[in-house]
Amino acid sequence: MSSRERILQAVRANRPDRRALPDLPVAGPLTADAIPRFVAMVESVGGRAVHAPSGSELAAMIDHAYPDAREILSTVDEYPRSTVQVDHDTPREALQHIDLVVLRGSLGVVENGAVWLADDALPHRALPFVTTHLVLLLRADQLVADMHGAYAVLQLEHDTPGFGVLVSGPSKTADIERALVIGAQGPRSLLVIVI
Amino acid sequence: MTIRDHAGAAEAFTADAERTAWHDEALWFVRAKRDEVTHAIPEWEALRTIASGIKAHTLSLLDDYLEEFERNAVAHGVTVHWATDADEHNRIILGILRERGATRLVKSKSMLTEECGLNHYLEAQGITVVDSDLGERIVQLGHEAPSHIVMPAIHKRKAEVGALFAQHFGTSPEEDDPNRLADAARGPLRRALFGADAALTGVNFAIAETGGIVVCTNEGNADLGCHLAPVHIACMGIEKLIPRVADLGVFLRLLARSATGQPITAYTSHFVRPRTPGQFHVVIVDNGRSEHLGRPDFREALACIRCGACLNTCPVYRRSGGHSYGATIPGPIGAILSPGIDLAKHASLPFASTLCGSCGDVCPVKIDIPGQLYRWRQLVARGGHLDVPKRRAMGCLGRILGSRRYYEWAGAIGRMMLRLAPAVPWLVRRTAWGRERELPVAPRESFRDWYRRNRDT
Ligand code: SF4
Repeated sequence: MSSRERILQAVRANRPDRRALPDLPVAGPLTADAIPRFVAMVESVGGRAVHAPSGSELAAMIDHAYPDAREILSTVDEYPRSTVQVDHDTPREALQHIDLVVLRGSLGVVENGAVWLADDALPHRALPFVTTHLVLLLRADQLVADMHGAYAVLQLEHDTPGFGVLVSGPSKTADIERALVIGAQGPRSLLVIVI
Repeated sequence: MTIRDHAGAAEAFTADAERTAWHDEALWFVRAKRDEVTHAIPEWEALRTIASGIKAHTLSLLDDYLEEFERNAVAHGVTVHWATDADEHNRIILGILRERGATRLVKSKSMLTEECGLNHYLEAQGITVVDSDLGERIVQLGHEAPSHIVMPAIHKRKAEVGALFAQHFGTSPEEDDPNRLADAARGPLRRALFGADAALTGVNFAIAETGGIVVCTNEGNADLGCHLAPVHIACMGIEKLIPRVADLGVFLRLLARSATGQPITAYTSHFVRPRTPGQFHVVIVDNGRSEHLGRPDFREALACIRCGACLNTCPVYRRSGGHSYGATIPGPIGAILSPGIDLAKHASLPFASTLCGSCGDVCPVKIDIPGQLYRWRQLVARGGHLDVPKRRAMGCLGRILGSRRYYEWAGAIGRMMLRLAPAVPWLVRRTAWGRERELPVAPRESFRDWYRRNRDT
């Protein structure tokens, strides 16, 4: 008998009587102050967030925030400043020194400041993690109140991307005496721009 | 093995009073943060009930959900492996690595691979293993095991980390600033992540509906590993299943808040298909879990989502350190899981508790940890695993409490002893009860005597 069969058989023999699957909570309502609350939440998890710069103002703001960025990859039209090209086949060595990545998120969660990025927004899955600084653009109408709202919108059960990630703040660790250190192995900073 | 094991092992930790006090306070701080953020969610208790219900349901149909998970994972291009025990798990992973000629493996946090002893196994086969989570790397460099399931190096002070890093990363031996230490580790860890032949991650949730897995981290190391290496191996126990993607909404709201007081971890990564180009393997491990599922009094422990809240809140864990539990999973949850693996070896763990009940109160999936501790104690006693003094004492106590006459005598003798005890220094200083405690002032008479005297007045 294969290990698979052995495990399934043991589970079948030992499982308890059937219990009902509970209904899930409904998504919380999006309040009028959703944008400022989302901005505050991103800041509380160690990121930075701003609301509503537009057009050229937005590009200038990113330029201003990262004056030293040399290797830049942007997938957003508002910031056409890429200095490197990346796709799935880019060798990993070429990703090692990327300073700035600018991507478009497709959903933001007010209760935890997270932004959803999936394969369709990622020329290479490693990009949000390898870069020193990450900038995410998000439309205000893409905010949801909570995680129940997030999964209701994403509908991953019907159309799942190969990979998707909720990004809440920059990379961080508290593994040395519980002291919070921003910028562990991943990005040292995160800027979320709500437009 | 006797029931002194946990207490005996804890002595090594508590010998350093300053460390013990720091450890206690550091974890209590995390518990306080957890309280603050959970109290901000009005529906917190309802979420716990739903989470507990989803887990109970999943366990009741676990074989079906495992099959559904496998079907969907395979349809998405994932290679699924099954391992009945730790040894098979280790052999499967070595096989995947060998097939690709891989010699450098990076790992992100996985308590399961600790349970299976994977690192030692692979290293003996010539594979270089780098734990890429900072805390795990610290304990790996120190040749230790994690002492906490969320904060692996919480038992180490920053000066000790500094000494390790001086040796391995060339920092100054005096350096003990957490920021600069973490920064010193960043370069070497990133180099390992960029140079690995394969990346291994744990699994926080496996979703039957999509065949995907979710991994929650703060450092970004899990993602760096598996999006850069040509092979991603994810290892999961059979109990990680949940039925629906939308169930994640419940568990992700509970997990990080319970664990660290964060609203969610920095990265919540949903892996469904291999990246192009790349391989994605999932190893499903039993290693005693299906047997545990067959224990009605204890199966609920399989609902655990490894948040660590029960460790942070436990007055015994906070003051004894994770290593005193002598098991991969320490703390209250470890104390109810380990006896199921080896009752004789872990007989002391159900007693490493005051039964204060705090673990059950904070558990996001409402596992009745104190109830299980109590029930394990019965089995330990029935199995003859109590040590002799405790067994004698319990027998004695049973007789005393079972007889009115003995009980009255015992009260009188007790009051006399309390008055005499200060004159018997041995009693005060040498016994486990006397050492850390002030003796109460003995009343002159028992309540019964007092009542008899005053009843008619
Ligand atoms: S038993 Fe509950 S509180 Fe303890 S780690 Fe598991 S889920 Fe968290």
